[in-house]
Amino acid sequence: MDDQLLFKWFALKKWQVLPFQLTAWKSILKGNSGLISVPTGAGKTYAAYLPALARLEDKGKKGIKILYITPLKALANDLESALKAPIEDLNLSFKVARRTGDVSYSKKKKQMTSPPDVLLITPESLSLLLADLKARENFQNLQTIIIDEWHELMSSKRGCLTELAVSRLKSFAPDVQIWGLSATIGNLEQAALSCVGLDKIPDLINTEMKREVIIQSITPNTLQALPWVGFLGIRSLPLVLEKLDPTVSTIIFVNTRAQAEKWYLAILESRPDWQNILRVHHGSIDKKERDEVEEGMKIGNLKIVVCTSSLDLGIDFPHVKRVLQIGSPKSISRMIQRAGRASHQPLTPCDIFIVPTHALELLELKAYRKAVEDHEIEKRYLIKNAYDVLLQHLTTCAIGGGFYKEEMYKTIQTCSGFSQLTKEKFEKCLSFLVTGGSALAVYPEYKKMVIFQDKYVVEDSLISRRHKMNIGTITSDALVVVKFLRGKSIGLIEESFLNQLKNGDQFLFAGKILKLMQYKDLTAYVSLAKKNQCKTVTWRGGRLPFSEPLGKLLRKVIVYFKSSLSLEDTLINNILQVQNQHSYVPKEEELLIEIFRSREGFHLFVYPFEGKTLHEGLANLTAHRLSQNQSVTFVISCNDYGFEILSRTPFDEDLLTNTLFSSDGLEREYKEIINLHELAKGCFRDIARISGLIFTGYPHKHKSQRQLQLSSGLLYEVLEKYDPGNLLIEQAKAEVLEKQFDHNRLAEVLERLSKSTICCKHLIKLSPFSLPLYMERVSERLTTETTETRLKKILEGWKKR
Amino acid sequence: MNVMIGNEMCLLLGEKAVYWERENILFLADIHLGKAAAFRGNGVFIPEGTMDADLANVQFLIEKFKPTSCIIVGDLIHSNLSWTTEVKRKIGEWLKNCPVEVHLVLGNHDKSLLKNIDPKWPLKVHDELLIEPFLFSHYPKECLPWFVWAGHLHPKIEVKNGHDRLVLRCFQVFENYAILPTFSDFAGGSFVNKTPSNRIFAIANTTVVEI
Repeated sequence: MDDQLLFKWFALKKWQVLPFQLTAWKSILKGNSGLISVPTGAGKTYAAYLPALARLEDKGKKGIKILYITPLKALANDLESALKAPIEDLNLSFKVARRTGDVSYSKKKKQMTSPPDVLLITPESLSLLLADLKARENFQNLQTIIIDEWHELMSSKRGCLTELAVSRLKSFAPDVQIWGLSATIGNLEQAALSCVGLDKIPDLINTEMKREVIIQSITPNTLQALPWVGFLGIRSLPLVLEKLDPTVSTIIFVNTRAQAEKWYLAILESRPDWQNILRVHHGSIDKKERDEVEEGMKIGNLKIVVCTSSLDLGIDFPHVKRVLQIGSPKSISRMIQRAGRASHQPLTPCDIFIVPTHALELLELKAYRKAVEDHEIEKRYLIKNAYDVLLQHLTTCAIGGGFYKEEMYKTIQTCSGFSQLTKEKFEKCLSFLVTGGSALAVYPEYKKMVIFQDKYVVEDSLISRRHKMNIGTITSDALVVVKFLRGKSIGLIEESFLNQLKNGDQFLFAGKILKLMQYKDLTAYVSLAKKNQCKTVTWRGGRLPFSEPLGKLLRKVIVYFKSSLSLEDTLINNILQVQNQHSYVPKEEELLIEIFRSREGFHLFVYPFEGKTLHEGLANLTAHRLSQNQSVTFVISCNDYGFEILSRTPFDEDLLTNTLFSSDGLEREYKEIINLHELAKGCFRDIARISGLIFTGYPHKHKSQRQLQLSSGLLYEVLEKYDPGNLLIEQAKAEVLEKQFDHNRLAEVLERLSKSTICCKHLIKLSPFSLPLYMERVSERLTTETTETRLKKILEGWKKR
Repeated sequence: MNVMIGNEMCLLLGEKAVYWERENILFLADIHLGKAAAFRGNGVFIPEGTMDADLANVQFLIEKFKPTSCIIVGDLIHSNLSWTTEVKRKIGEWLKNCPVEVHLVLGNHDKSLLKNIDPKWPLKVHDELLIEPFLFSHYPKECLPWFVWAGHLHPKIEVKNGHDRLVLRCFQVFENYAILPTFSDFAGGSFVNKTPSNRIFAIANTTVVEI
């Protein structure tokens, strides 16, 4: 195809070619690889796809030539049309197909007998294709790989999986071009390198298109009207209703699915006349219903949608004029992304109205303003040495035609996430799959992978089948289909929630009050309920922690008494006054510690203001240091402002000095804490699933696989006890270290705290800072007592009641 | 802990078994030997270790109480894939060296047992076993006038107050039947609740405590 066709098509569409598109076209036509980073909606797709199309030959070789990888299955339909458009308009003969989880089996089979020229695919479906015996044949003429939303993928295990899959494709087609598409992030160079692989030099194409974001708050006039704790924010309903106008298309973002349900119902109850223009949208709702909502927003029939991150990315809604955010969005890039949903020209400023759900969130607003002012934006960190994903990938390749050791090692080293993988560790991964890798014994019955004429392959068809069922890195609870008795499906819900319900119980889901009629075979049959009393679905992983740059900013804005001009500033001053009455407002170089006694025991509140993730590490470390030389059980909970340690016995106040936060011996203490504590078990759950140690089963065939079911906690204990040096246990510990004890940053914070002036206050009543920690306890335990003692104390506690 | 159950004095052991002194019998349930091997046979790598530990625990109890016989109330073997040469050798050795009579009441996991068992093993197999007034059955049920000892359910209980939370294996005792905890450390469980119709004896390490 002639490259002049690019301009021809843009002219046909009456579009103007933007400078960044021109740069991208030139680079791609030259055969380079790279990353295109521009704000959403600026035309990234065609910047990469059109020149790739231009490089195709009319009567080319067989096989897939352009692979378009998208992490968003929900968007695949729109993308498919977008990819087809230039081909149809210009009367070209290329074939476009889509291959995602929801494409029928027969269609997929057909795709492989005569492969399309352009294939749209998700990372998981790509992995599945690599497990096909014809993988090499299908991909050996591949010319271009385009990876959409790379900023979303790169910092997740899905990103690792994609990197590995791309490296395998490179071994089939060494000259393939790789282009990533990304939104603005803090570390683009790294993103570009990880996208194309270390064996290529990326061309980075980004524009200086910056978008101004104006943050407005919706608050009551007095502090009394704003609760001190809570995350639903329903109390602000009247204020939100004032901002809603049935003639102005509005998206209301919330942070959890439960919150979306509650808000939808609350608005509907206040304005029943909005029944036809108001909808709720989140990831658990049935796909058909979600599509209808998106379509309604697109054409403008629906005016108000309450949604979670389910509408963060995706199709453009040209009618949307206003964006509301209930509660703090917890990340700068998420806030900018959401604000951008209301603005359709890339360069025009956009507004976002934030509704704080509790008083302290007003302080967070200040942090957002500061971030926007300073052009601060989150970086995306790569995951390094994810053995679980590597084991999955190696098995995939062994099924899909097999591999040779040396060649595979070289290929894997081109992935940023595995560039530091030593030969020794790689060998260990292989022997894990071939012999089990245990240093202590030989097990002839274990034959997951075998070596046949130097080639690593999987021979057992049962193992192949089971592996293909488990491909992917997205782990979730078992899901239950929610269906009306008549048969219409409403959506999917976590099994753990459904297990709490009895027949006849009512719950709020997909904007309806439902009554559970029967629950069997992973299907919940429901009917519409009449009465208004119900439980709201509570989902796991509801609340997000502050992102790293926000955590840092929070401390800077929180200690700042501003001469109050706006309503917001007056409210903040009031909050700090109340804090001062009950306790104290720390200055920037001070660290506030509060001690409180309740019926439960003794509470120690510490406020480093560094964000929840860092507090988790810090709280564990502090608790560990306080528990030295005594048997004690601590309950720990954390939020973005600080952490709480609860103890049955009083704290030794002599210990509450700067030395408590010394960074000496940190390295050794991490290890002790991780070994002592159950922290790593949490990470291990996903690792076991991804690496294939835990088989989640065939859909709806749970019972037949009972003998292969195992809890990850039990597995962790067995491996730790009987397989010293196990790769995956090592990974779980490393992940904890990375996540909660972010080495450098924790050391930095300790350095600051050990130099701060410690202000210790005894509370008579809980202070505004301590209330959220006290009320919303999401706790972990750190114990040095024996099980017997703990049981005795629990039972004693029962007697006292 | 000594408890009157079914009008007999029973010693509930923290090692997840019961010693019945009057008849000098030790009984336990759900050992699931060869479970790790069955996983390996399915391509899931799990190291051996739990089986040795479990067999050693049985041996320890036998040496401590010197019973005349030991009853396993079902699920001695995990599945048909458990019968590797190594597993078979270890079980055979244990049975041969065992100084007491070993009885097995067949459980749902023991389907593969009869085909694979070595006829020379000193193991007596029963569908159910009656030693008055106790009836040993893998599946929990009522069967008056006998008192039934069963396994199968792997009971565990959650105990918590505001401060602390524990999940412990337990004996669950009803009026006419009782359920034994799983003997194997390599097994999950299902939660049970304390209700007026049952008594719960939880196991904290090696101590038995009534809830």
